[in-house]
Amino acid sequence: MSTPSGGPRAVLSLCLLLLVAAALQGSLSPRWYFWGGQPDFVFTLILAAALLSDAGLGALLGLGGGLLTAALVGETVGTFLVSRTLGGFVAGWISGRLFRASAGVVLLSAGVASLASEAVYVLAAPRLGLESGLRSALVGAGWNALLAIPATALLRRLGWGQD
Amino acid sequence: MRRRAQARLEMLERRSGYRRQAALLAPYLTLSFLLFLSVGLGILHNRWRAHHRPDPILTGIRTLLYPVQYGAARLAGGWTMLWSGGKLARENARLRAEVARLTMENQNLQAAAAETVRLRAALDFAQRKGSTLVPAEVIGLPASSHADIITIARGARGGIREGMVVRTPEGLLGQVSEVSPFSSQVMLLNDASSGVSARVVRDGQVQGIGIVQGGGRDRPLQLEYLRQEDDIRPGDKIVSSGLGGVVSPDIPIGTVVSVADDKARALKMARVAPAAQGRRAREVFILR
Repeated sequence: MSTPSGGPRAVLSLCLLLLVAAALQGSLSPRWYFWGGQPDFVFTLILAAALLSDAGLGALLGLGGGLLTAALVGETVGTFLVSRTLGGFVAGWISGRLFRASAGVVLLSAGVASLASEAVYVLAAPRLGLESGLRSALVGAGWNALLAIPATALLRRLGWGQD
Repeated sequence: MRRRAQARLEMLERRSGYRRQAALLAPYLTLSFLLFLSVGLGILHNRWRAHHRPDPILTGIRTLLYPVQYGAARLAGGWTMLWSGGKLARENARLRAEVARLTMENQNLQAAAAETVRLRAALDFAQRKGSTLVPAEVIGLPASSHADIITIARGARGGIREGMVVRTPEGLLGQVSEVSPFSSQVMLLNDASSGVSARVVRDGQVQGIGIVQGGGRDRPLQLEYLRQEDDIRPGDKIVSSGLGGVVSPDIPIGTVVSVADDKARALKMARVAPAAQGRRAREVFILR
């Protein structure tokens, strides 16, 4: 597992951004609810940071993001932790093979990682039933993939992914 | 000499091979460890919850998050006020008139309540316990599309306990599911794992008793386990039954939208439009 590039300043910036994202998750994200899904700002930031690091660090970041989301929701804590850890790992793993800083690749990688994570959640804790759960996973992954583009650009400016 | 150099070279190659293998395996080992940790933390959370003890990790995160969430909620409220500035004066006048009307209505109701207490005492009925309404601001709407859970700005330090009933002036909203020092999570009636015992009422007469269950966001509530002979019609009011002793009786839950036969169980079921809209609530009341 690599250490985050950009040093302590980049790590501190990510922590502060995660706090803001968690606050917005409860105030702004539900207003963007559409066809059964809504964006996950915390997970989007985690995916963006994982895309700028590697699989091991991505998994660790995913666990951190899962803890934040679990604190906001308070239900199915273990499932949130497992699914977000896997999502972070997948994003980091893809970045090691594909990531070339193009918006298209960010969109695709974040979408795949997000969908994998949401699918694990839906299958492990089917609270809404399979059909509604998968629809919610698909819409959520779409939102996260779109938002990962500006999130990656922001993290790059803050020093992430710059060796 | 030559043989020794060759052996040393082989040893270095072996070491380099091990390092390469270790580097390849490292992310998967990290993932395995973190997954075990995740499952362990999930199990611990469930154990703490089963023993009605707060999860120290999530409580710590919530305490850290509280000022940011509160600030964001205030900012969103201020933004809304800025946009609806022109309406505020009219709204204020309407609310003053409403307060005057409700004050008079409250006086009449207090007199009626006192009379009820006297009559119940005369008939030797058990007295109903009154509950205090504690107001709380909503600082977080559902953070995940999988669960209908909101966050309110009142927690254990404000006297809130797990299981307390939460309502709005319109009706029953849900129940406190988790408590932190400064904030609490409220599971809305719409949540897929929510359920409450309810009565169907028309013109003051009870038409049936069932269980209201949530079906997820944007879906009507389901009133299940009604008997086939129950006369339930669209427009009938649904109120809490008070059975079970957790939710007080007669709190409005919603209105029947449609009725259908549950043929598999030889029962009836109804779709119910909720009285309280959890996603639009800005302020709620906790029954303490």
